[in-house]
Amino acid sequence: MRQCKARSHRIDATNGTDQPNESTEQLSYPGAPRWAKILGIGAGGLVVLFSIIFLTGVGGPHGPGRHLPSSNADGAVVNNARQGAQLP
Amino acid sequence: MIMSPRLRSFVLTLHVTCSAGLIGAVAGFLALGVAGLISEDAVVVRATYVAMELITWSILVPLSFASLLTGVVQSLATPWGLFRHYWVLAKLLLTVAVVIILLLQTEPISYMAAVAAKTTLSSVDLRDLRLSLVLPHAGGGLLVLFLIIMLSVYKPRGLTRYGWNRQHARRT
Repeated sequence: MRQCKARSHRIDATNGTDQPNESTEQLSYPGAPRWAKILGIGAGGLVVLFSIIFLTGVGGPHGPGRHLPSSNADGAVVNNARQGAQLP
Repeated sequence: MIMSPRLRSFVLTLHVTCSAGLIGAVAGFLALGVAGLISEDAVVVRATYVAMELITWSILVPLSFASLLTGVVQSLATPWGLFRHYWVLAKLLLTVAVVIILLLQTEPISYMAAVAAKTTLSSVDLRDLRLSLVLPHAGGGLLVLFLIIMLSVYKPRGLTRYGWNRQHARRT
């Protein structure tokens, strides 16, 4: 059984052909591999962490516009810079 | 849709070029950001933020989209597929996340460039924003891009349920 499961997950990543080579001899889906679960849990944890920080306001206001003044004058500065205009 | 070997090699070359170029450009962006933070020369500080905006719009954004597009084409046109193997799916999700975060960061980057072009920045001016561009975003982006390259090289095993069903159905 162990050998069968090992075969079902085998991928020849170093066969030089860059082609997938995973066997599906097993009748039932073996589930996600451990590395995918760890990566998923890590990514999910980061999303939850940033969501908590964002929703609770811990660490101050966050987001890409948090440092930007909201006045029109500064918006004009940004727009001028994007258009390559010479600023005084 | 399966590409001919010659076309596949060409698209793969494009994908590797865009992806490697992207990680190099992010490294350059990071170096400029660090220089902008630690330099005491006002001219250097002003120049770094103007250069960071230039790199963002002329290299980072185009290469990130090109890397995503060539990766999707490459996977859809080869037996790897886009949703059949976990490593391909992980690469796709991580690349999409990189593109979204990069696009969100373009506004503060342009703002910094505009301020730097207009005024002389002292070491404490807009410190939070300047630090934010360097450590969490450029540094984190570099790590994620390195992870994406590792996935490409190692191609860790594991079929998704969709990929498994597809292969199993074909064999039976």
